[in-house]
Amino acid sequence: MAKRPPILNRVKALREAHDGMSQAALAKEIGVTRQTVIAIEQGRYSPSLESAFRIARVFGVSLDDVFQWDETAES
Amino acid sequence: MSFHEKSAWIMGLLLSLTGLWYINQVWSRSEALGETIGPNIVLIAVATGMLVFGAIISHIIIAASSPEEANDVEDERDKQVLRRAGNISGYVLGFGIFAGLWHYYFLADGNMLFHIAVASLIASQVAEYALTILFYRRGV
Repeated sequence: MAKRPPILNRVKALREAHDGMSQAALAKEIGVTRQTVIAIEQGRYSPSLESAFRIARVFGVSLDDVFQWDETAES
Repeated sequence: MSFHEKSAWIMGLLLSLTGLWYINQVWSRSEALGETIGPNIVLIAVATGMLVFGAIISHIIIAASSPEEANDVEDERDKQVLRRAGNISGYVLGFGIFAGLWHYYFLADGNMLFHIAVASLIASQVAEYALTILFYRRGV
């Protein structure tokens, strides 16, 4: 079984706070498929650095506001 | 479920069925003959035709059911999933060919070497589809 990446994210919360932006709309903005956005939100996939920056730019926040290292997962 | 995952399910199923049919044909004909049958181009052509026909029909159906997803290009996650699945399935092919070569070394049965190579190709491709599904579901 693939190990889940030790990275937490607030993509879903930011998307909902962004006028309820749809997953498809976010996917189009950052150039991935809707399934990839779903996988990111569920923590099954860590996006590339470029996509991570694109997500942060869409919401107008810093990278740290979107993605955080999961300290509990490391131990 | 993404178009690529649906495609992997369908192709994995089709190739498994076609592969089993092909291996069963080779097995039963070899038993009837009392020795391993030689490469049979008609059998291979029929199996390939069945696979291509099934793939075209099934892909038309899944594309028609979700046209937007069918037009999606591979993104970074798709590429990662497909690359990793292809990488591991290469070991399956390598192992099968290696086993076939050793079989030939000891028994000098060229016909069997051919069938083992074909079976290894089928097995590695089925493994690639299975791993693609697994990585899409569990993460890369």
